Amino acid sequence: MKPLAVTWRLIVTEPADGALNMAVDELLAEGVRSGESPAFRLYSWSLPCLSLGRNQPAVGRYDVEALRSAGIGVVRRPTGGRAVLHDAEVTYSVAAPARAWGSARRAYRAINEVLLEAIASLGGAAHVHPADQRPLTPLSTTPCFAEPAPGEVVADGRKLIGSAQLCERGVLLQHGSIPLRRSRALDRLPVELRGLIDGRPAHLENIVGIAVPPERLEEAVSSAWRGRIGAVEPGSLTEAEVGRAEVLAGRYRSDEWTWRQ
Amino acid sequence: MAIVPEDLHYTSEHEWVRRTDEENVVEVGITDYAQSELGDVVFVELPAVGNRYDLMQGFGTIEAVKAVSELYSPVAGEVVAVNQGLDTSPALVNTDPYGDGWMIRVRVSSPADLDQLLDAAAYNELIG
Repeated sequence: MKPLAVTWRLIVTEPADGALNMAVDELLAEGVRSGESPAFRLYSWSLPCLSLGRNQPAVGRYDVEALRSAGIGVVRRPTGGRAVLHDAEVTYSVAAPARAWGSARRAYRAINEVLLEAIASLGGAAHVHPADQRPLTPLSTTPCFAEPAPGEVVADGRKLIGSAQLCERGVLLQHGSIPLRRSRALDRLPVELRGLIDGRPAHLENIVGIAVPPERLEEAVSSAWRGRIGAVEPGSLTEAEVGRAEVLAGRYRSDEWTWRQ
Repeated sequence: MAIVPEDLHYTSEHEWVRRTDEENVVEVGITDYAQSELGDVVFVELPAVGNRYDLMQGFGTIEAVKAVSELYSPVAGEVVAVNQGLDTSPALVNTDPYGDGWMIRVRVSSPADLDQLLDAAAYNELIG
């Protein structure tokens, strides 16, 4: 089902640090709130970065010095879920009116179908993790990729894509990570810390059988988006938006936000 | 089929409001329909007692698996109590949304706000 009879903004941004990446996603959601077209964004990270879920416990749980020495940044997302190490990956985000799919769960499903189609077009076999009756694990430092939740994209028994959402003042923001291969930054960490931040994703190159250049995955996802969700108009952020994103990045650079709990 | 108690008032954002024995103090939570749409609740971020909110201003957030949603104050007023039990047992919102899963109690600053809320029949119609 195509949820909105509109042309989506397709924004592909340059690699940026964690704070700016989160700020741009927030900016796109803010834009939708003020009447801009819904947006679909593809991006990457200028340095490896651990993103924390909005409400997950983190203070005292991670060796920040060891992360810094390994060249890994830390940012807290505006969305839910648990920690994700972003490195060799393609990250996507979607900002749209919350009513577009009727509910956050339906949006999750619809967006995952786009991603599944993109992966299939690259020759990868993946599927949506079914609902199960296991008791829910409370929010913790267990990495996002360690446990697939119902509705998430899995392959070969491991989680392939980790996504999270924020529904705020009528706008849905969903973003997610599609790891292409194992992060080499992990090798620079002590073993215990490695286990704390690496959920051992399926990794696209293992599923497809060959290394997938990020541009190829971006093209596959954009094409699936056009087919399943709607027309896209490739564009970039305006100068005013870039300035606004820098302002919004302030929150994501602050210890007060990152280490709020 | 979601449970919609007859004696409560509702908002289009799926909050419920219950009058308490104390004059102009109401109890607020989210509906059975809302909790079932959200799925398993893992975290509820509630305000401090004494905070004041305008009508439909965000007073907190709720996180179900991976999804954070804002909670809106169905009335303008001052928070006089918060449900501390949700700190350790957020799933009460799923298991008992109209009872132990309550979220805040608010001293209403403008009692006329209560007249603008939906009754059970109107809310039932909204959720279809």
